[in-house]
Amino acid sequence: MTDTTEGTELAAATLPLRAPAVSPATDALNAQEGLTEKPESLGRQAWNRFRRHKLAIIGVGLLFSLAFAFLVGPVFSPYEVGETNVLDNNQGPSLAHPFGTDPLGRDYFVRAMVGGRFSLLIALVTAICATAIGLVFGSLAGYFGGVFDIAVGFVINALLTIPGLLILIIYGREVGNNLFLLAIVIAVISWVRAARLVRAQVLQLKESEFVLAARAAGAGPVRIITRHLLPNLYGTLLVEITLLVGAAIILESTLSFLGLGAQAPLTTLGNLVADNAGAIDTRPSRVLIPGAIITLIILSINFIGDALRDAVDPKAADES
Amino acid sequence: MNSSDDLLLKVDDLSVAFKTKKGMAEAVRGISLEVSRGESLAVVGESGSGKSVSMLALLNLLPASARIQGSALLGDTQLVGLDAKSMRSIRGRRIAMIFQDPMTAFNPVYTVGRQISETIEAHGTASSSEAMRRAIDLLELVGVPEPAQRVRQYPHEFSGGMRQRAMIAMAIANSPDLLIADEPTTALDVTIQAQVLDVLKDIRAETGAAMILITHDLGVVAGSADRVQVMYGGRVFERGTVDDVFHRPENPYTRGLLASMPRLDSIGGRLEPIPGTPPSVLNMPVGCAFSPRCTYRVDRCLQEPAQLQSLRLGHDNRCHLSGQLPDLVGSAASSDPGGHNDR
Repeated sequence: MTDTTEGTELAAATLPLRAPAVSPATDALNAQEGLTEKPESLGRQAWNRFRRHKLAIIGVGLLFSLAFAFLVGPVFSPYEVGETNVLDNNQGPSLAHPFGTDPLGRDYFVRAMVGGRFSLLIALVTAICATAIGLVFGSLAGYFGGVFDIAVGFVINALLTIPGLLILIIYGREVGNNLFLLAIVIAVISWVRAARLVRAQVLQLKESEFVLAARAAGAGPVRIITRHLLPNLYGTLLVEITLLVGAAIILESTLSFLGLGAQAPLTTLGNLVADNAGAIDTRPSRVLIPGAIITLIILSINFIGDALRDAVDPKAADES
Repeated sequence: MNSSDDLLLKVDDLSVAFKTKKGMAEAVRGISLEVSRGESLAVVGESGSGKSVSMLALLNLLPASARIQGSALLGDTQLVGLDAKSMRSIRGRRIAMIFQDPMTAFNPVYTVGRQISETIEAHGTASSSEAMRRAIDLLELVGVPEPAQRVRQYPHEFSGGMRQRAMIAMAIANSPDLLIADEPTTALDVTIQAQVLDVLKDIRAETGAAMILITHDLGVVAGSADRVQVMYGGRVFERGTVDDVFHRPENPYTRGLLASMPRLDSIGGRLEPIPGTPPSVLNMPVGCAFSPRCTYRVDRCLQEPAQLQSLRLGHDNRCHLSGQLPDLVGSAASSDPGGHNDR
C-alpha cells in the first residue's frame, strides 16, 4: 500500500525531467496525485521496515506484557512482597499462589513480578547510562581526534584489560543495596563498546560530503555535532541500548547469583534464582520461573534489536 | 579586465602542501587568479591538477595536514590564516560552494527544506519560520516544482537533477558574492547537466553573484564561463577569455585537452588522447610539469620550469615555446567546441 503511493510520488517527481514529452495536463495530474500525500517521515519508514519482522513484533508484545505484569501484577495480588506465612511454605503452584510459595511462605508470583521490575529497571538505567557515556566520549574522540582520541583510546584499553566482573565483585557488594549505584557501576564497565561504535561512525561521518557542505555553509563544530552527526547516530544508539539492556540483565543476574549484586531486601530475577537454587530438585518451578522470565526478556530484546538494526539503516531499500 | 574596485577575489601565489609520510605533497604550487563581481571564471584541469584543493584552501576546508601559503584577498579580508570564527562568517555567506555529488552532499536524516533553512539560520539572518519560507522561495527560484511540498521531503526522495538544484538553492540562500561550483554537473546525466547549467546561469543573472566553476569538461566551460584558467600539476598553464583560449590555444596542454574532446562536427574522426598520466604531486618533474607528455618538448623543458607570461592582453601562457607553436588551422581548436551547450 505505502509502496505504491511512494512509487507514484517518485515517478511524478522525476517525470518533468526524464520525460519532457509528456503532455502538461497528465504531468500536472501526476504531480498532484503524488504530492498531495504528505511525505513519509524517516521514523515512519523505519517503523514500516520494523513491522516486517514478525519475531520482533512478537518480542515487543512479549516485552510489554511482561513489563505490564511486573508493574500491575503485584497490585492485584492479595499478598505483599515481604509477607510471610510459614504455614503455607514451600508450596507448588496453585490457585491461591499461582507460582507457589518459598520456604518462608512468601507468595512467589509477587516476588517474581517485583524481581522482574527491578531487573528491568537496573538494565534500562544501565543501558541508557552506558550509551550516554559512550556517546559523549566516542563522539568527542571521533570528531576532534588528536590528543582527545588518544586519551579516550587509552581509557578504553585500560578498561578492557581489567575484567569487568572483577570491578563488579569489588564494588558490587558495596552498592548492592542501591539500585541506581549498581546500575551505574555496571554502566561504567559497559560503555566501551558504545564508545567505539560511536567513534567509528563519527570518524566516517565527519569525512562525508554533507559535513563538508555544512562547514562550507558556515556551520561550527557544535552545530555540526548536534545537528548533523548525532541525528545520524540515533539508529545505532537505539540498537546499542536494546542490546545493552539484554546484556545488563544477564550481568546483573550473574552477579546476583554469585551473591554480589542486589542484596536483600531488594529482589531481582537473578537473586531469586540464586536463593532458590537449592530447591532445584524439590521445587524446580522456583528456579525455572525466574529463569524463564530472564530468557523471555533476553529473547524478545534480541529479536527487537535485530529488527531495529534493520529498520534504522537509512540505506536499507524500501522494496521487498 | 574590469577596473580594480570591481575586483572581488584576488588570489596571489597560493600554495597548498600536504604533510605525508613520503614528504610534502605540493598539490598547488603558486597559483594566482582574479575574479571580478558578477564574472564567471572556469578552472579547468585533470584530476590531481590542484583545482579543487585550491578552492577548498580558500575557505580553509582542507584537513589539518594541509599547509596553505600565499595570499587570497576577498575584498579587504585576507582569507589565508583567517581565524576560525571569521572564516565561518564568510563560508556560506560571502563565498558559497556547490559540490560535485548532490547524492552525498545532503544529510540523509533531514528534509531538504530544513537543510536549506538551517544554512540561513546558521548566519542568524532570519527566524526559523522565515527561513523555511525563504527555502520555499529558493527552491522555486531554481526550478523545483511544487516547492511547498518539496521542502518537506528527504534528499532520497529527490532525483539527481532536483537535488543539484536544491544544492544550488542552498548555496545562494545567503546571497553570497561568490559561488564556487566544484564540478557541479559531473555526477549528473547528460540531459540534466544542461538544465543545471542553465539554472546556474539564470541564478547568477538574478543575484549578480560571481562564480568560479571547477570542471574538467570543456563543453561546460564554453557554455557558462567568461574566462578560463587551465591548470596542470598545481600551476596555471594558460588563461584568457573563453573565446581566446578555445580558438587560439597557445599551450600544448590546452591543445591536447581540446584535441581529446569528442566533437559533434567531425564524425568518424579519432580522438587524440594526451599520452601518459599526470605527474605525482610527490614527484614533480624538475622542468615543466607537462614536459614528460608534451609533443612539442625541447631540451629546455626538461631542465627548468617555464614562467607564466603574458601573450597578449588578458591571455597568459606558461610555456618555453610560448608564441612559437605552429597555428592550428582547421584543426580541433578552430571552431567552438562546446557549441551544444549554448542556448
